Parts: sequence; structure tokens; C-alpha cells
Amino acid sequence: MKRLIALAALFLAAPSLAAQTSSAPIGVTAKVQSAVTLSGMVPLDFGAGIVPGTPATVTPANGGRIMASYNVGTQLSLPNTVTLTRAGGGTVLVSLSCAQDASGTAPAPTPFATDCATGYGAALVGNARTDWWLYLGGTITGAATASVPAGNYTGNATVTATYTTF
Amino acid sequence: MKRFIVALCLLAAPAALRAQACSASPCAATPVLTSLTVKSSVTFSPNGAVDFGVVTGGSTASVDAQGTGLGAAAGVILNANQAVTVTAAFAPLTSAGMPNLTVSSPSCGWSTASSTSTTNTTLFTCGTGYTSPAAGTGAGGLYIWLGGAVNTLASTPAGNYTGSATVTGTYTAY
Repeated sequence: MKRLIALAALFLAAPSLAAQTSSAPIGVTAKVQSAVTLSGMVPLDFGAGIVPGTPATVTPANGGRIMASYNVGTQLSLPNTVTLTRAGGGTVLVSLSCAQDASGTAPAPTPFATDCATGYGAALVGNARTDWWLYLGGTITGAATASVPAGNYTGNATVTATYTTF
Repeated sequence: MKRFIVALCLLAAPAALRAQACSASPCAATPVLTSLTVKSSVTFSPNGAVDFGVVTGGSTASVDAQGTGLGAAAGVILNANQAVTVTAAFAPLTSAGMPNLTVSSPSCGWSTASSTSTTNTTLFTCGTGYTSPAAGTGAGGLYIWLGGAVNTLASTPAGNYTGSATVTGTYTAY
């Protein structure tokens, strides 16, 4: 008698033990912020001295450079000219030439397609944060130094990085 | 301890060597330093010879840098692209077999004009010197004028006496 009761109980309970499933999508998002840095600046130096009235040129490979690190495509640009000044008076105009390379020790970096101000579109390599080097050379005409005072002239060529901010 | 050392190194590093992190686009904060040196260009070129004039023994032959006196002032033309301190010194006038004649009261002046006069020329002390403009002399240069006086005695032998004056330019060499 006890066995019969147990079997009946199992039959009665069976419908309520069937599997029940339900699903709903849950959105998952993340934002990796843009990160652009400029570092490792090497100055553009025209060397020991320029004889007044004599033209001078430094190639990008032998000039200044700076490394851009970025995790988003970035347009890198510089001015086409920079005016160097001397304490006490005097200015010298330098025409800049720009080049770029994946290496910081490139013997012949690739010149910018147009000019420094138009810039270079630095893309990610391998969909990963990328380091890329900009090289900066310069040219001075003979006329630029023909009548300026002797001395040390300095200036800054500002690098501009333009990118999408995330 | 390692963290402390790293922090110190960062503080000591020049700003240009630190990474410039862009906080917004466009980012235009990091310059490439650019520099050059324009070399010194300093020259003197002769501009005539100082003539103290003709005198009788026992009198003084003189001309100052402004051309006032018996003779004629002369000097050098300075061309420079920077400040130059100009001094001058006379050597005694000599004539073979004769006693030397010393130049007394040396007189120095400068002008931008190619002729000397009390109007054109500014006098300066030969030994102390005159410092030309820091911006340079310009293409035409600056005229340095020299003069002085030569005292003779009644016993001074007649003859032609010659000597030299040395003009020295002192400047910072670039």
C-alpha cells in the first residue's frame, strides 16, 4: 500500500518539473578613451654656426624629431616656417621640411606628401596603439642671415595633433 | 624606494623631455626646439693714413679725430654684425738714425659719415674704447678716426717720421 501511494505522487508531480527557459539581450558597451602623446623631442639644430649670408640646410634625417603615440588615427602637422629670435634683437626665418617613419632612427624618413602644415595622417598599425616618428629639417636662405646680428637664435616649431576624441 | 627614485627623476627631467599627453583635440602644446648660431663677422679696413702735418722744431704737430689741427685725421672702417669695442694705440714715430717721436694726446672718434668733422664725429677715449651697436654696423660700416699730437724739440732733427697705430676690436666670438 505504501508503494502505490508513492507512485501516484510521482505522476501528479511530473508536469510541474518540466524545463522553463526565457532569454533577453542585455547591451554591453565600453569606450576606450583617445590617448595621444608626443614625446622624445630632439631639437633641430643648425650646428656650430652659419657664416652671415651663407645658405644652410639640415635634412629631416639629420634634424629634429618627436614621437607621437596614439590609439586613434591622428593628423600630425607643423608650421611651414618658424622665426628664430635672438635675445637683444634679430630674427631669422627658417623654412621647415617634414618627414615621418615608423622608426626613430630612420636614415631616410619619408617626406610629408604636401608640406608640414598639411601634415601627415598617422594611422594605427595592426589595430593597436602605435608609435610614429616625425622628422623635422630646415632651410635658411643666405639673405636671411646677411644682415642680422651674430649670436644664438632659438625658436619653437609646434606640433599639432588632431584626432577624434573618444 | 624604487618609486621614490622614479618620481625624483621625473621632476628633474626638462619639460621638453617629458611626454606631452593631449587632453583634447587638436593638441598643440609640444614644440620642437629650433636653434642656430650666426657667426661673427668683424672686419677693419684701412681708411687713409694719419698725417700730423709739417712743423718747425720745438712746436707741436697735431690733428684730432675730428680733423681739427695741422694735419689730417684718418683711420679704419669697421664692419661688424655685432657689438665691437674698439680701442687704439699709437707706436712712436721713427726715422732712421733719428730719435723717436711719441704721440701724445691720442684722439679717437667714430662716425657713420665718410668724412670727419666736429659735427660728424663723436670723440671717445682711445684706451677705453667705443662699443659699436649690438645690431651691427650695417653694410656701410662705421668710420673710426684717429689723431693726436707730436711734440718736437728745437733739437729734433728734420726728417720724415713714420709710425703706426693699432686699432683693436674686442667682441664675443660666435
